[in-house]
Amino acid sequence: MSSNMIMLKSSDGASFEIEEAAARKSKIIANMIEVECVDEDKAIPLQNVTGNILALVIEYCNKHIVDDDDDVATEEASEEEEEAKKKKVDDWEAEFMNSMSLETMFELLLAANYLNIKSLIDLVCQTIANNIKDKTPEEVRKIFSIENDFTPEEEEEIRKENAWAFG
Amino acid sequence: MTMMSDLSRDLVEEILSRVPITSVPAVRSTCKHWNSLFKDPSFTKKHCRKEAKEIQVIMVFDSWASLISINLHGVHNQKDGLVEPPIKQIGKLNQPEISYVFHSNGLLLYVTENNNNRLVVCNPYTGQTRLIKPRNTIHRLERYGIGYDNNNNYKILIFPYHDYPIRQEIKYEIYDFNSDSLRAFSFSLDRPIWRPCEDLSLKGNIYFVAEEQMGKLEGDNILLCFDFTKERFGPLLTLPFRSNGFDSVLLSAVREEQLAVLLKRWDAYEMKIWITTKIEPNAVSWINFLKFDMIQFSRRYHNLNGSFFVDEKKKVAVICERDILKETNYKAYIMGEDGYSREVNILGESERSPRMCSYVPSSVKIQQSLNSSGKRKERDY
Repeated sequence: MSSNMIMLKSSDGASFEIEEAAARKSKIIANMIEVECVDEDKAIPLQNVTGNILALVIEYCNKHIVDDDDDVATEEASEEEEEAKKKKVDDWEAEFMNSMSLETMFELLLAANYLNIKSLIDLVCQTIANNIKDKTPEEVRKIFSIENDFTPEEEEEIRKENAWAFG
Repeated sequence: MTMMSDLSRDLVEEILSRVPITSVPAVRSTCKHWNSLFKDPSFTKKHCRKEAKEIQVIMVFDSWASLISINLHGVHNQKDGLVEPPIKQIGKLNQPEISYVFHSNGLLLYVTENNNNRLVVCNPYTGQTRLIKPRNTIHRLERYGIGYDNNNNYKILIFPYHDYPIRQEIKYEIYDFNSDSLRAFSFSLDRPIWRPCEDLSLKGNIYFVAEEQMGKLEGDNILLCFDFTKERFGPLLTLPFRSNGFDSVLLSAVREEQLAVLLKRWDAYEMKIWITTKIEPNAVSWINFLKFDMIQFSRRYHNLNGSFFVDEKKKVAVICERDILKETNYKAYIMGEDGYSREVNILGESERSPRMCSYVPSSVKIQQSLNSSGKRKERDY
């Protein structure tokens, strides 16, 4: 399979070669390609994304471009095959996000948002949300470096409102 | 260093709209900004929509209410013991002595036996609550249901205990949230019925299974709707089968849009489930959904007194029922096509059978009454 390659350049000057089909996962880059403001010899500068984060974005896009191709080929796949395939992607994504620091997740989220890659935004947001699950407010504040700005009265008010919630 | 505070408000909302409902109390208690999101209808709508993708069930068991999630994704591919259980308790209500629960559009009506019997309506998502005092005393055998009319006014239907079982003339009371008042009604059905049971709320109204009385003989089971807009019962509706008081007939709500009915004949192992294609107070139509045998965990002459839930897309039903070997133990059974079955031991032991209803989170507000000084109360309880 031959495919066009394009170059991306990070804010700290690192260059990456990526298949056009993979790069099109980013709506911003896809848009640039559509309106032909991509010079084949020149790298697309991405001023808001550092090299180490761009490498992660590219790893994600490369993986998902393959999956998208599969989708077309097996349109008539049975539900079980669909489920098995979804599980494979889920496993890869879990591995991809595993051991990533919270700081890296935030940077990856900002990059995904800047490049407009919806499925990556979803994945990172879900992973960060999972860090909140089953935590106390004190733990959540500690994890995300958030200051408790409630007055004691406001805290009491919320505590009352939570009396009939499922905890 | 990049932190949560570097993210735009949109991205913070994207993250927080993905926390499970059981984490909402902790998230709201974190800081003012996060708490304020849960007062913003555009955020709460988005969050509730995401949460509604899973089947959630409220269970009152052994005087405690808990939230159960049923996740049947990949249920056909999973092997026992390798993955998270498809049915698990995800939250518990920290209020004792709950004896009954009824759900309508994200609002829960509880009967608590704490101190005196009393009714509490709450939205577990927003934390809003209201103590309802229809009368000075609430009788243990009274039955309740919550629903709403075409103008989204919430009301509570009360069957006084002395009028149960019911005949042709039905007496009931309606508590209105707006006026904080109770009104008594009497309504004459087309034909006499008795033993209305299996009540649940769907699209604001309450549906019952009841038995039609045909002279001295056992009559057919029928479906009956209480219409909160008209504040009366609709005509007797047909079920997709003929059955009588010896057979077990259970109702369930499917995504708050359709009704499902399960039939187990008193002398059979087989169970059949139908789903509505149309359901209104005065009209219903059904299609076949699933049938299966429960030989491995049901006796032939055994009445069901549990609950069931269905996943339409996966073609799977979850039956919550007492253990055949130990009657005080309740289990969940996942039943599918082609003999698929799986047992999940999540419920535990209780002398009283669990009361279960499906739950869909919503940010709907509970109307608060005007108290005597004319000032709107923030909270009654």
